[in-house]
Amino acid sequence: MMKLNLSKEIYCLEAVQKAAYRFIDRLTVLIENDGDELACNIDPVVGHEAQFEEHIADFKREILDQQLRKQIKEETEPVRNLILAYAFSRTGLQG
Amino acid sequence: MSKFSPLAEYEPQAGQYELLPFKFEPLGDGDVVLTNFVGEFAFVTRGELQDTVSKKLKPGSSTYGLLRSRHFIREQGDAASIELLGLKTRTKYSKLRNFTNLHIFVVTLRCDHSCQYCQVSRQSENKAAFDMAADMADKGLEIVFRSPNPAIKIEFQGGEPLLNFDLIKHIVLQAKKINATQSRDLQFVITTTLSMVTDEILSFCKEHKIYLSSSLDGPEDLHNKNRPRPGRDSYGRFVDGLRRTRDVLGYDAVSALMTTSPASLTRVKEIIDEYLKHGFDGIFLRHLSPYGFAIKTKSYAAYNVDRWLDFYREGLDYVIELNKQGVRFTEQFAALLLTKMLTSNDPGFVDLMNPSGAGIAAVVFNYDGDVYASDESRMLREMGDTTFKLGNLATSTYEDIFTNEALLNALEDSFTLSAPMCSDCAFENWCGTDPVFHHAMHGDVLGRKPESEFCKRIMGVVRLLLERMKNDPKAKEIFMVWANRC
Amino acid sequence: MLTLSGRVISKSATLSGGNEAKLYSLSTNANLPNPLREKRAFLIKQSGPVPLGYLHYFVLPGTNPTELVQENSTYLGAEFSYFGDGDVVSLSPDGRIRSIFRADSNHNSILLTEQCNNFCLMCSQPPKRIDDSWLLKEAFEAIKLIPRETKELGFTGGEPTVYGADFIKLLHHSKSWLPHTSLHVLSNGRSFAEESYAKAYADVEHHDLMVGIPIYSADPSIHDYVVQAKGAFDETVRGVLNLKRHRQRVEIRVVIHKQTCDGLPELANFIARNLLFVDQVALMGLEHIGFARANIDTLWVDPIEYKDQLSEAVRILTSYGIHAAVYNHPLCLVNADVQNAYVKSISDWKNEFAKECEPCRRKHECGGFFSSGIRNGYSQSITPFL
Repeated sequence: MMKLNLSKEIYCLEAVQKAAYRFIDRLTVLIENDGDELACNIDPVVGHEAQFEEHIADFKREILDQQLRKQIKEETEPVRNLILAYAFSRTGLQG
Repeated sequence: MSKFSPLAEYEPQAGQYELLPFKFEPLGDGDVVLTNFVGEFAFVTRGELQDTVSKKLKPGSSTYGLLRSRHFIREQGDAASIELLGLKTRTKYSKLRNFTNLHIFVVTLRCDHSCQYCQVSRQSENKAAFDMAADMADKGLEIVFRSPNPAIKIEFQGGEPLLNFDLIKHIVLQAKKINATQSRDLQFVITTTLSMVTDEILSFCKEHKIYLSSSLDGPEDLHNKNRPRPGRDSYGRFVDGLRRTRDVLGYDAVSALMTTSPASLTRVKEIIDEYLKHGFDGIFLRHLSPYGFAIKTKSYAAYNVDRWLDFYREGLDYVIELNKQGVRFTEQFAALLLTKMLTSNDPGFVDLMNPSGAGIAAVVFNYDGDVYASDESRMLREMGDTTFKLGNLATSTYEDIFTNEALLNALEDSFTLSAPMCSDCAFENWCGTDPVFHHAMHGDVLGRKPESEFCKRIMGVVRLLLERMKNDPKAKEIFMVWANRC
Repeated sequence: MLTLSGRVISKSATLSGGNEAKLYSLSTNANLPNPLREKRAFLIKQSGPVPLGYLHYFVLPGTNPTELVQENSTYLGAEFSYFGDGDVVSLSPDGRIRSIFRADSNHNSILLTEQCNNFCLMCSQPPKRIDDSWLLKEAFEAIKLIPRETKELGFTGGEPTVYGADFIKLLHHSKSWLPHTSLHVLSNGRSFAEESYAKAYADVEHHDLMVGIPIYSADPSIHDYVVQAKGAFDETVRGVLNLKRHRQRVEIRVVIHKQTCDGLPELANFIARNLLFVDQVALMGLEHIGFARANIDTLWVDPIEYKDQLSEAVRILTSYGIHAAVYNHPLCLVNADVQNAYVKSISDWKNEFAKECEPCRRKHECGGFFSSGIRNGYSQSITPFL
């Protein structure tokens, strides 16, 4: 059992949720609002107690990766729509 | 004073580039693999990934050039990259509008084998109970030719389909008659153990260019253990049937698939050697199917993906070695994934498509006229679960079948781009969705990917392929040839 | 190496009056039927009676014809003794003679202009900012004189499409006057980024037309640098896409030198993933002529140093089913694994062998060297096959 507090200014809820989901087979993570922080209550999944420390470390790194993914996704949304418009336009080539 | 300008004149200014959509996944060795909008990939270090996103990547550096030419970033004025990404996306999805290609007719459930993992065979001699009727088959053909696909494949399954060869003949002749005015590219395949093959059967197959798809699980002891039949001679009959079939139909008219059982997991090299011995130029190292095992032997629970991945790695590395020694031999599961990773083609493999291949790529007509969204759906039915039954040939129209809520919900809810974890996954472009498997194992069409054997298996194999391509240029050469064969 | 243009020894009086060059179709047939003589010039290659009734007479050394009229005869030096029956030559009032078309050659190209909107570091035909549209007019004329059974004809420059709609007219004209002749156009492809131009090109509906378009790198910066034009890569690629939308045949050409050799495998990869539908890819050795001489320090690399990159590029293209061809490389400087793509290729008018090649037993399979290379510098790694 451990509590991990993350500043909302730096870490967004979506990234923490996605990271938690990725670890659902190893950790049970419940996220709550705690003022200007996100509070994560983390328990190991049965059978994964021995590597709990290791999993927590990986989980933290995963949060950072999810932040990065969110950044990329948001930044590239307009151009993604542009590409899809091309893909479904009538003047395109058939590969 | 030179009238030529230096390279620096043509390099973009620092920090001005724009990101194109891409995803990433950490690799075991500390590096990261990036995949772009259409699944092209590049290996970079963590630092380079960070620099790329924070716009610190230096123009003129080799990573910058690589990411720009492979469509991970673009500069103002790079209009061609958008056009090209749109084109490649279009190519990847172009086969979708052809709709259903594979139509499976389960012509009988009777079989001379009683394979450990099979959930469908019936030993009964009661033909009426377990054979498909001709009028049912005719209705099936009506559905088949409603498909807009210019290429139609009709596959006969069972039990042992050759036990109802009269119906096969009927269907083939009838299909060709209908096709005379439609000119589809029509192909026929019979999946059979070859134990029941006769000269008459071979002669008909030759006349109508029917392919045979058989089974070879490995060396004789392994094969016979998996596939008991009266006489305990499944292997022997296969070898004999193979020779006779090749004689009449031609060398390449018969292929072999293996079924993996727990006993196979430690014997992959012997299994591959067995395929070499019988002159096959490839093998499909299949995963353990959960359906039959779950009922019959209860050993599926004991099997886990890590053991299978060890089996697969050993097998793939052995096949790579063979290729390096000049033996032309393909591992076909890798080839499927590699086609998606290295080209814009879609191999059209039903079990690895998004949206799911269920209905869209394949449909199954069971012996009793029931229609299923895929082969797996039918197997699920044998376990008592008819979730993916789409109708019955006697009572359902084409529209009833293909707009059935069961199908549409499965397709929609399992769509990877809307799925947790899948939608962010760097390998999503190469993967697929398997609503039937996840429904069977997890109770819903998506499942929880972190717990999913399907996900672990695909990600495991993809990581292995990436690792080999990253570290072994010769393996990459071999893979490139495989990717273009599909 | 053939002399394609030069000066005549003596010219006839009638020519001095005009401004423009005149084109002649040559005949060496002393028994040509009369109706055909009035449109042709007779080429005197050997001694003997001179057939009457020809439009003009060209005299090669050692023939001593006696009955010639000075008004329509021109004397040529020995460097033009390669002229032959069916050739088309251009004779200008100031005494310049140029070979426009050689009937016994498989490599005929008509130069349409020296203007270009690229400025490639290695350009073998350096661009000039002059109005040379007379070359286009001459081309229209020449096409009417070129034998109709000619299999193949090339259009080069400079950049042929600088003429815009007039270039398209030339294609229509070729289709009309040479309906059985394949055309091979060399272009940087940038004009075709304009979709309507690509369409006009496609509307010619030529039976056998291919355009060769260079792409020097998958990295836009490097391509733009090699062609010395910002934005060229983007336009060229979009040009290729437009041509393919209109189902036109496109060949991608790559000149290999120090600026492009390292990026060859990545370029092959780029073509395989993005331009899979091109009809072929030509990988070519550097010609040590024109701008290449001025930029030789930037460009020169001994081909033996990039033979592995070349092999990899060929392998990638071949794996993806793209037809790859290796041109203009001596056989001893490439790996054996490019044999299937290797073409014995240099245009016959500009190739020779080096002195090191003397004992080589595979000369007949080899493309040899550009004469410019023999003159200006070539690989130190030439090794004859013994």
